[in-house]
Amino acid sequence: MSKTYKSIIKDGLWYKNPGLVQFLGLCPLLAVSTSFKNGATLGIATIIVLTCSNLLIAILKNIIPFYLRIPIFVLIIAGFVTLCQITLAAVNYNLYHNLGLFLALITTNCAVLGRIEAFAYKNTPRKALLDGLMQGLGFTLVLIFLGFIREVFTSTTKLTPVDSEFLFFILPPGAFIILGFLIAFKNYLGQKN
Amino acid sequence: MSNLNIEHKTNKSIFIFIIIAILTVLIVTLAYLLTKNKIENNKDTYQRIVLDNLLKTSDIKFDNNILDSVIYVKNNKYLHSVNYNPIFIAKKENKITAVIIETIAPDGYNGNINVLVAISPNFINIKESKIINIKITNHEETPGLGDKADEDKYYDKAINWLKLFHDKSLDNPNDHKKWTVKKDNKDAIIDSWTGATITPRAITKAVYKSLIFFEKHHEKIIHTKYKQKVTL
Repeated sequence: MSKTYKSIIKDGLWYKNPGLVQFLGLCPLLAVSTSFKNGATLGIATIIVLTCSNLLIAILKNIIPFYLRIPIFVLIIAGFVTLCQITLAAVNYNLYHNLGLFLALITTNCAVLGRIEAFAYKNTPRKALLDGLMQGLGFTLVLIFLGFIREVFTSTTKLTPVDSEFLFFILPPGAFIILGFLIAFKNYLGQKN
Repeated sequence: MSNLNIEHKTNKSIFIFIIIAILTVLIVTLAYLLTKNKIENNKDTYQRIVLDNLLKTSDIKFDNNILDSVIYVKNNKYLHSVNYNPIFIAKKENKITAVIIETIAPDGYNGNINVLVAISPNFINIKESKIINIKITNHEETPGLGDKADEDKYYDKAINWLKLFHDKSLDNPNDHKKWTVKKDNKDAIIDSWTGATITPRAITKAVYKSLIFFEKHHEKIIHTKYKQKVTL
């Protein structure tokens, strides 16, 4: 079941995209994509956490006892998320302040825990690093796309010159519907091939 | 024999778990200690910029260390204190030019709304103390509906509404029935928003109450030593 580097890249971005195929991390996906900036920033934070956690756990996988692995995974994920928070607060306090609780919520993102369990615990550090990067990137692309659509359609900020009161896509049901269409479109494209 | 084996394995596993836990905590604590001062400074700078922007639009000048010129008010019913409400005092050449009160509107649509109210005090006739500016610093209102006064999100659109409070005082308008949104009273001074009345009403009421609070307690406010916590 050894994966090639190429297949890891393709899986993370398309065939096993965490948001559109594995349906992991839907909660932060919908909560955070209310604006382009939020989506992009938290996507990058997720990539960092996912990549670092994947790498560390792949390195330590022989030491980590099997039946205690989940608490240890969560411990390490939470550690990296906290380091991310501290770094952001020190480097760009404005951004940190605007993100509020969302940064800490990356700890609860199932895409991170899911990837560690399904991949990092069973593969080499190098492959785990690449997988973390690609899965995170795949997640971030969906985040950015959703964030862009929701912000543009709702014209809440300076991204559009249009002044409309069409709120549907900023609210949760609208987000679900856009995501649904996105998944359907991806499946359609996949079927054609 | 196998029982002992299992026990040894279990002990070893738990030992590893504890080591990883301790290492994680140590590393995070180290990062925290290394950046603690920088983050405190960032917080102060952020707060300073907020207060500065609040006063800048009305040409109110101050030359004191405004973050240090603060008192904390506890348990006040006008300000709807949760913990302590900070009150900042801006001075130029040792004369008070502005009093900035952080108040809380408890009746927002989705909970508390924190409002910073900057007042230009008139110590001869307190009722004529005018509002310089207000800013919403914290809220949970529905995006697109109740967050129209969030100037970090809406910039000019938010500021245009917040401007309605400029120069208002307990004397202007004199009638407390006008201190609400136009949906409640057509002579009211504050415009309502389409699709959301609860939020602007809550903010208006909170600002009004902060003016009443200042009228009642201005003596105590300007005479309390800085950094003190008082119950008013």
